Amino acid sequence: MFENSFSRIRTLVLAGAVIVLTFAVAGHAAQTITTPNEAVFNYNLAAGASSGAITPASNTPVLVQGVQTTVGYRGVGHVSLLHVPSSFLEWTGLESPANAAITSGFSGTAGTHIVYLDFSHLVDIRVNSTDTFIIHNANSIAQTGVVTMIW
Amino acid sequence: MQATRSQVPTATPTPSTRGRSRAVAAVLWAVFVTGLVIQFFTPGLKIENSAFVMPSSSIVAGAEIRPDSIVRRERRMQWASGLCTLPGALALAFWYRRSLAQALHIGLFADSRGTSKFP
Repeated sequence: MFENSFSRIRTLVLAGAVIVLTFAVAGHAAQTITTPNEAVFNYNLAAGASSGAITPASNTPVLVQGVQTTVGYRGVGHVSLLHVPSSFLEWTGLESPANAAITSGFSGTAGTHIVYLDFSHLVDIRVNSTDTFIIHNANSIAQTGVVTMIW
Repeated sequence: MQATRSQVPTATPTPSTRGRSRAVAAVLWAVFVTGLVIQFFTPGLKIENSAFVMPSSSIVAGAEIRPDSIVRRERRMQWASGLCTLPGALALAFWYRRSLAQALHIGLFADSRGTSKFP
């Protein structure tokens, strides 16, 4: 009798576990598959620091937009970017206020400015190599913000 | 006249059919567990506001990150995980349908002494 009840409980518990795991996996898979190609980077850079190198998707339009969230230096800028592998990055877009202006160009040389993200034009996205860019903080204090890439 | 359940002849399982049955069950469990294992090894990107959030450790100085390939890998692994887990679970449910039905039926409708209320 006890063995029978135990067997029944075991079956139900096992079935419940399988159902829960299946829903968890299927839900996560569905969410991942339906999420658009958009990546978010939260950066927190010390004075004079740079982020790691970011490689955008190749030969497809990539929208790179960023906001600076540090009080007193807040700003926003964006560029549409083309990555030609092993050759260069090419971009066009709008600098952050103040004095927002068109930014455009192409380069594979490290240090070439792409777009400013802050009000004081001290934090920018710049070329790091023919295939990558970095976020650089030239301010004397730490700066935080968010950069998103859509491709 | 309809035959009652006890009158329906059931095939006596031979050692070979029992072995084959166990092998099929093992394969179904293996498919299901493979899906879980793949899920465990995905990059595990967080999704916020319909966007993949890159881990903050990935943009520290010196690191290099390629978001499109990470996202592609995450999608592929999630596909594979879902494709193993969901059909695996359905196949297991079908394979153990009798045990499940029995456990549910008796579990839900049994009285305090553990016997079914139904004839």
